[in-house]
Amino acid sequence: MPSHLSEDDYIKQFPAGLDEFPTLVDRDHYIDAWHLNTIFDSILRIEQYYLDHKESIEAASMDSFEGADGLAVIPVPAGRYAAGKTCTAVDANLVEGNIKSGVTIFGVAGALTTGGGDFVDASVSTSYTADAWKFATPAALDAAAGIASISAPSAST
Amino acid sequence: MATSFVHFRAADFTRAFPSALDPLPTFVDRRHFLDAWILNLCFTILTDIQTRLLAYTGA
Repeated sequence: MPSHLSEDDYIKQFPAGLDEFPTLVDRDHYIDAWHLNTIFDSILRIEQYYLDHKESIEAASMDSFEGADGLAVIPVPAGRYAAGKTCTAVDANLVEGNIKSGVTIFGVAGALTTGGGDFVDASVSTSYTADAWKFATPAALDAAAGIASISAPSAST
Repeated sequence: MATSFVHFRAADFTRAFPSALDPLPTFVDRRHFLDAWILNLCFTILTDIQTRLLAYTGA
């Protein structure tokens, strides 16, 4: 004698999990109206889920890409990216000649070396060698009397 | 009391997915016949969804 399966034993979980369905056996189980109803209910849940996520599901599949030269913040084009896809920032100035030797930045080993040397500034040098500006030096200091004033710079001493 | 069974008509359930949800019948025991087109509709809907998912996920 066939038996009726109880709808209450099969819980709807989608999209949190899979819906539960009975396994029907000929001559053991009646095929009741709720069987078709639960199929339709699950179908509608799937359709609703698809509609809710339609934009992302149907988005174009995108590949890894590089940003424009020098951009620190790179806009990501709309699309669907599989795990492992990357966005790479690039800068034409990020080359070994612009990085101090011994330093590595973003995987680029620096090769820049500088020789150092004496400070050279033509304008300062010229000013002092011309001896054009010197301050007058008092011949003697009278600490007791104090110094009321100091002579203005003289251009000739 | 005689039970009056009726048939759902396929023409009353026009597919709307993926623009909207499909209109689907609700069955009542001893009230509706389980016709072949009902199961065929189930299978068609399921394969349509599977086809779309496969097409858009690159599987």
